[in-house]
Amino acid sequence: MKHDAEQLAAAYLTTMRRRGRRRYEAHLLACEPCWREVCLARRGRQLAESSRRAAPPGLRDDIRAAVAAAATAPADRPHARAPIAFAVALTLAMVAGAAMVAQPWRHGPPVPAAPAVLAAAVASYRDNRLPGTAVPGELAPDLTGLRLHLVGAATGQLDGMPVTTFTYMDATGARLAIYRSTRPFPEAAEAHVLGGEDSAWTMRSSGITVICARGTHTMLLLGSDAALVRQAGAVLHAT
Amino acid sequence: MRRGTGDHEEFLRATLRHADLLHALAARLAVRPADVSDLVQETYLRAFAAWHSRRPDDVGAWLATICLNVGRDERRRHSRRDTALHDGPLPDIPDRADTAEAALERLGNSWVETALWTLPETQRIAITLMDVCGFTAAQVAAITGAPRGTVLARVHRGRKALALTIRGEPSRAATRGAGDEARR
Repeated sequence: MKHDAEQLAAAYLTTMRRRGRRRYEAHLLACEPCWREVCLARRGRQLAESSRRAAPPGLRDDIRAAVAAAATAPADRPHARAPIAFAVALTLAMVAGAAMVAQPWRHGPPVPAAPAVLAAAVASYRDNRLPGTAVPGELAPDLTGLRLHLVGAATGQLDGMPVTTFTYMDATGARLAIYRSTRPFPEAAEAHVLGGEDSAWTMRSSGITVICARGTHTMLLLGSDAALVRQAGAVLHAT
Repeated sequence: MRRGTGDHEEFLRATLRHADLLHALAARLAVRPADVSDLVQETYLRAFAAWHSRRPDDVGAWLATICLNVGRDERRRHSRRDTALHDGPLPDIPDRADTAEAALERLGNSWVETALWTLPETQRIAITLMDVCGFTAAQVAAITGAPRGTVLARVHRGRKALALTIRGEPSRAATRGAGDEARR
């Protein structure tokens, strides 16, 4: 029987369900490569688990003291760099805007797009890569209320669909991406609708939460932190 | 602007129970052992700064994500990490005749720690998050931003590499013998 011993053993020790486990355990008795994979991985897991240790006793007190000090200290100006980022975005928009033809933002005819565009958006977010290099002709949405500052902006294409992308980051390193298009994004088969007709919808893919804005469905919000994506959606009146 | 006492008490109540796992993660990220506590504290301070604007669904995973980012930032500042990893002698590799259990007893934790540091970073982080911190594969995927299948492969390969490092590279016969023995 041809099979991937490594993949099967990895699944067996993590996510395989009961029925699959029973079948695989029967298979193990007759398959030396699989047996070896499982033995080694079990040993490795046991070794890794043996290195668990409690934090030093004083650590919690140190954390309490540090957080208490931060709580009573005057808060830093949130995102001192944000105004700079916006000034840059504004300048770029002014320069690009003069050269660009106005885009038919809400009135463009809906063109059927393959769901692959969603996969492309997820991959673009996951790989932290912009879908193009052209300067956007529009201003980035203001998300400073969520302590998010602009870290990237570009116009390009996702699976052939024209998009403008803005990426944000907060002080913890959490990222959020916004993709805007002149065309509606296709709804994923696994999407959950967040209301009635013309409502926003949401989906999860590879640990990334996607929200497609209500109405024209021409804006996507993506992020690993589901709560952050929801909050950004609320701020932008997308949900 | 000052934040209220209640705010930081609420933050500490929600997050302090994750101090052990953050310490374990920081220990596999810190440039020097002495930096581990600083890295954990910095994680808490960044988390507290963001706590104001949102409450995460999964506090442990959220903290781990911040800790990874803090660790990466620190590493960029200490680009000499690669050489620091190999400062000092590695412990002796146990005799191949040792059983794994006996080897474990003899080696103790420090050797396992050293062996973990010999793994590629992606595998070390995946193993730490899953086997030491106790996150699920889905949580690790969300924390690291890698697809779940990639996480499972990293964990599996890391576990194997760890086992082989502890035992020395086993011959096929030796492995077969161990397998046969275990089956009995």
